[in-house]
Amino acid sequence: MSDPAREAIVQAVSAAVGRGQPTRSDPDTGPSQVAWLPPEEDWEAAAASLQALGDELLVIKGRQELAAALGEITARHQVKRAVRWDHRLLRRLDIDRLLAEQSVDCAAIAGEQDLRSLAAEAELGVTALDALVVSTGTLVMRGGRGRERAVSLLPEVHLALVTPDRRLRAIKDLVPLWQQWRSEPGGPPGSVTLVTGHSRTADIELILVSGVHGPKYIYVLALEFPWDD
Amino acid sequence: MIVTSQPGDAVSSSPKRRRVSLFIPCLVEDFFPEIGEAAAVVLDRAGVAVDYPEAQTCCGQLAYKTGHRSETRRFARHFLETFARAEAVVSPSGSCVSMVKNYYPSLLADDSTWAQAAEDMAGRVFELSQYLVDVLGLKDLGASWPGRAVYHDSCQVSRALGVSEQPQALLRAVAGLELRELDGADTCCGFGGAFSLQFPEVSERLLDDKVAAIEASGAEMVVSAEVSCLMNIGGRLAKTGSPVKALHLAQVLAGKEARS
Amino acid sequence: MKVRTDRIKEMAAAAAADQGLHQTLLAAAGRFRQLRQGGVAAFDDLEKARDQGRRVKERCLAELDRLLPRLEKQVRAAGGRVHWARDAAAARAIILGLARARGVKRVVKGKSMMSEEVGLNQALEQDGLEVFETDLGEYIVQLAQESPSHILAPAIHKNKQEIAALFADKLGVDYTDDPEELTRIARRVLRQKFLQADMGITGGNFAIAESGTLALFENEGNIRMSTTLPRLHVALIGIEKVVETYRDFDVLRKLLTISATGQKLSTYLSLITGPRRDGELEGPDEFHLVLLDNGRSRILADPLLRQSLYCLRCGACLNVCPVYQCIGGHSYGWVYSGPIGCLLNTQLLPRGQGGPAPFACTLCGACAAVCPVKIDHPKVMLHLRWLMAEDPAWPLPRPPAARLGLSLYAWLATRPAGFRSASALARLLAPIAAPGGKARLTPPAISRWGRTRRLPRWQRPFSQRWPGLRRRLGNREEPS
Repeated sequence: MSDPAREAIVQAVSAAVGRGQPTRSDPDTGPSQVAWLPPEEDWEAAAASLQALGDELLVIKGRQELAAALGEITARHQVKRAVRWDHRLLRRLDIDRLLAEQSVDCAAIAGEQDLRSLAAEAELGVTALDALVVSTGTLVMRGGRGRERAVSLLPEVHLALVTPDRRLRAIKDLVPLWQQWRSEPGGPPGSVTLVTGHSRTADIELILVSGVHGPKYIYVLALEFPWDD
Repeated sequence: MIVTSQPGDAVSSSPKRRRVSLFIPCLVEDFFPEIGEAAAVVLDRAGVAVDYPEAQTCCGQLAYKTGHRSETRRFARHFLETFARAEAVVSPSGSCVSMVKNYYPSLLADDSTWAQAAEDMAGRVFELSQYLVDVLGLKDLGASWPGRAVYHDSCQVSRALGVSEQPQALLRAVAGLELRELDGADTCCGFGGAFSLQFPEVSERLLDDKVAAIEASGAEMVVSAEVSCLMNIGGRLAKTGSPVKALHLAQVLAGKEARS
Repeated sequence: MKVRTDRIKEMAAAAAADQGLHQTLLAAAGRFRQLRQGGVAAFDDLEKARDQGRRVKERCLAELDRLLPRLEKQVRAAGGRVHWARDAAAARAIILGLARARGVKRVVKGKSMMSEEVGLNQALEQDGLEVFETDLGEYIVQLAQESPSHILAPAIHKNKQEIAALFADKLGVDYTDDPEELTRIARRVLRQKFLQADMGITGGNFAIAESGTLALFENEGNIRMSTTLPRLHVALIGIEKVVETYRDFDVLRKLLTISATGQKLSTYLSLITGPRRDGELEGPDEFHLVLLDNGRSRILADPLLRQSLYCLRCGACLNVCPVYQCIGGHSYGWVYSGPIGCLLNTQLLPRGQGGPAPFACTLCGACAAVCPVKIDHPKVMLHLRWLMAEDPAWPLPRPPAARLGLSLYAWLATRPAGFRSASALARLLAPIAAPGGKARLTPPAISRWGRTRRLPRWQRPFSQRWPGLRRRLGNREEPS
């Protein structure tokens, strides 16, 4: 396949950089191991980061507390419908049943039409997290089947569940995680979304307004109990 | 050479007295000669032997900044020839010093006769306060000038030369002078050489902002180490009948002695 | 976008007379500076990071001829397609061709300077497509049929009352000037557009060659919508946006957000590698990356001008530029504004069409002091002035008289006696040449200067005073 524009551009660039000595890229000096925080570390830093963004992290110590937290959040935002990822953590916790107890209709997404209509109508989207960056309060989510981006984007409230073994100190600690994902079969994930706080804009007279296109509220539930029994 | 130590010298005589050649910018030569005189007096009081190479003309900044490099090279070569034997070149204008220090070397880089001279000159040309503080290690020159002052942190002094603390340290040591904070002290006054002629409305708006900040500070004088800013700011202050005076750092440091 | 760069002086003069605009711009710039300062204060070793960022850009651009094919290979491997556009017309044709071939009717767009650069919206609309800008500021500007005036805050030149009237007029809603309420209206209207759109068009902040990944930063979520919901995603980027590795990207991303808004990270960062994969329920069926040259390879060829391509579009230079804060984005007459706009407009437009942009600058250097990748704007500005003054390939109309005057001035420079005589002559003529004087010899620009400032008066020159002064100095140099 020959594209004259491609040839012309590559040639012009090559001539412009005066292709001579290729410069070497900086050697990868950073750690190749992902520096997960020790699971026993507390949640204070992460909670403070989320609070600074105007969002909330709740430490959940058991299934009862989880039910109570879900009850409070759904009541506060008058949630009637919810969508969720088809994710092992959410299935094991039986989120659908817990929400049903609050009279909230919740289901994982089964098909594409389902996704568009459900996610567009639901007030609450429930996801898990691949990582939580504690110094910035950043939620890291890979996309894919059962991990739809729309769930954390379309509803007004985003609820994210995270376990203590999925915490990183700083954004730069994502470098080895990305490298790990990239070396998996199939290459890097088709999409990785980093969320640092709820949707916001200051486009009108620089006045900060929350929830312009994405969620207006974010809750992170930190699961401090053995959920996988 | 006779080494003398005069009463009132700010530095004790050293085995070898420092010598500087004064570099007087065009604006000082024709419009603000008293600033040049003040600079000479201040250097003299600091114990430095001062000379003035009379063949000097202009650094060529206006030509350079309007894009005329071939013309500027004539200025540059003449400057380097004139000051070839100078131990150090000192000027009461940051922008002219920046021209010589920051632009002559690249301008003459391909000139086999002058490239080395330009490089060497870059290391021995100084704005007045830079020379006093960084080279001589002086802060207190025994000057006295009572009143409230603000310092206009000229772009061509602060950003182009990295000189901002030195003039302010010198001002703080002036007896009776109260140095106040100036809001937006390092914001451009709108002069910009040919810019003020090409974009007069914009230049005036920036100047008015600067003057408003100066007046809001409650200062009786605005001090700068850059002649062109002073011409701009001082010209506006005078036109509007403001009581605030625009003074060069050298004038303040020289005190009454240099006032004509 | 219509090129009006030749009218920068007139537009700047008009904007400078608009005190309201000046106050708005000052407030906005002040707010952005404050945000940046807050971020910088919490940032350890910004200087080191700026040096690192500069090196990353230097290396990636020096390697660009290798990185572009590598990026192409990786995008293809991920199932995406890569298109190459030499100029704006080619970029428009590629995107229009895609829209026609896929039966696209509605397009949603994420904020993109590139789209302005190639004049994409007009081209799509002329072809009968419905095009919606979805960044709130861009949406406002589009409704008003204007163009963005600030990289970060496109509608910064409009106050909330103007926006309220605009919404009431164009969207048929009740008048409200409450930003919260206005935002809610835009959310509701645009949400439908996202769900109905066939094509999402975005720019891209970086493209990572080693993995074929596009990185997009935003705070609102409209870019996520545009890249998630429509069945086609087209990303238009300049060829200079390519970095080699994720690690390179990591160096630049922190500089970008800190410099723009003081954020350690923007609200959303999307890392997109190809279209929807097998078995997935969302994401576009097709991902198209359009790589645009449009003069960039020419800029790349000049070792000094090359740094103009390091720009991350953070907007920090606009927020410290005294001229920008006086004249606003529109006065620059084309896509880019502020210090970086003076550089890019001049270089990206065909030579001679950029107008006197490099002269619309006082060379104060505030921009270079904050630039996250240490672009030396004044140095590049001076380089362009030189090219325009002396290189026939860069025409700048200049009155012959000015040129002659300058030559005379330079000629006198090496003749001290002549130089002094010339100023003596000027001194002699001064009384009659002054504004209002008998002979109207004062150039109009100087007269204008004199209307707002007291012109300095000719004095007995320093050179004549020196002999007397010299005798009064204690530490005078003895004649050897």
